[in-house]
Amino acid sequence: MAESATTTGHIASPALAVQPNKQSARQTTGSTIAFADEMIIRRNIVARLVQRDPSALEEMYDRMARRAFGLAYRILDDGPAAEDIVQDAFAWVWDNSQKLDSERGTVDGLLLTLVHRRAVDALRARSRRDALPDSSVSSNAGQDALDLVDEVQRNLDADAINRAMDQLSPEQSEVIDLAYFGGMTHAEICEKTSLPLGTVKSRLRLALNGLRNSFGLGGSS
Amino acid sequence: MNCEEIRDLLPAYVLGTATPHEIGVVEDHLARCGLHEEVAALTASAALIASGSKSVEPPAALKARIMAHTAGATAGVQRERGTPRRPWLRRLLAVNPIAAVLALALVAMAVWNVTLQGAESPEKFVHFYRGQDSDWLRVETVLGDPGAEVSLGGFDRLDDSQLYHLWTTRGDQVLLIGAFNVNPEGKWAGEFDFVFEEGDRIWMTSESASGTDQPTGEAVFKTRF
Repeated sequence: MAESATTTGHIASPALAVQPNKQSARQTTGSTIAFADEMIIRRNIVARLVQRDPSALEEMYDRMARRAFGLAYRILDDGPAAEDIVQDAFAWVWDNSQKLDSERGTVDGLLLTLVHRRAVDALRARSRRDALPDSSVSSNAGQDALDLVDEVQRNLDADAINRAMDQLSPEQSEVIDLAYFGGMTHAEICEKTSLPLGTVKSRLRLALNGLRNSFGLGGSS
Repeated sequence: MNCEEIRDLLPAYVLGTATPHEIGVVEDHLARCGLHEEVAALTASAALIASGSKSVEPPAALKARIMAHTAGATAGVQRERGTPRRPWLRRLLAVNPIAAVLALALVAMAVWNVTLQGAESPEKFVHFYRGQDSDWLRVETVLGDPGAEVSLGGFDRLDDSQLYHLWTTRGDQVLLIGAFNVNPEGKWAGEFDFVFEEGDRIWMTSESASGTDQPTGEAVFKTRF
């Protein structure tokens, strides 16, 4: 019950700029229980991963593989390559499972971050662009960010996250697509779009701060 | 750079598309400035973009490949605490390459259920099986230790919906060694971190690529250590 109460508080948080649609609003009570159950299940998976229980990875696969594969496929547009990326990411989670924090809510955000990172590396290698160093997963801010991802996912489903993405202007969506799904640096986006460097930087900044606000992760800066 | 200039670099930093120079500039600044929470929030926002991606059903074989990895990696953790594999050969190669070549030749002759009498690894074991249809299996391992080099050939390549599953019967237990498909030439070679024991019976079935804990298909071959 404590789980339900905690999650209800998050659901009702006024900080969330992306509001549930009317259908979701009518289902708030059921959704709250479902979210609480979901978090219990996710935590149970992490705890079993730490204990090196293969069935935990299998359960995680059943829940996450379609999203992970969809992400890798969108970046690479190549089924076999996307398979390798997803396999590599799940293998990383398993190989490092004893280092996971069993108090942490889930590893879903970590898995998708790994898939994104590896898929972008593969994409850049394929197009003979220099590899980019990883700056996001290992830092302290990266760890805190994964907690925030869990927090947001507790409150917003994929549809709500997509609605937040839809609130971006076409110009902002374009630069986010090129950077996140195309793995392009500032200079590469400039070359692709013929935009000045300052415009690319400001559009990325506005876009990401817009998403941050929509996800209820603090004010823009 | 001041905080505002750094904020211009943060999106690329959290999206994972910053150049090494930009990462250096950002991290130098973060070490002296209190932007930690802002970076965490932006990193989370970037990571959440993935959550909006369309789900796509992966091929069925992917799950079996991932679960086969767990079987290997579980034993792999134990291996770090165990005896390194083939240390005698590495040492011999370093000290006397000619002796190492002779040793390898001896190993090559000693197939067919031969326990090698090496001074440092007396339990080293090579098992070779050859069937009536030119199918064959070779297992090289140290009994009781995790890790086995397995190669086989002479089998039909399965379609994507199926994988060969290699099993061991030990007493009344049936244990999964691993899953794979052979190449177009009908061969496969790889390493399983599986602990073989004397008397193990090895056999192989073709199963659904989604994986199974228990064999359902008919044994393609059976052989006993």
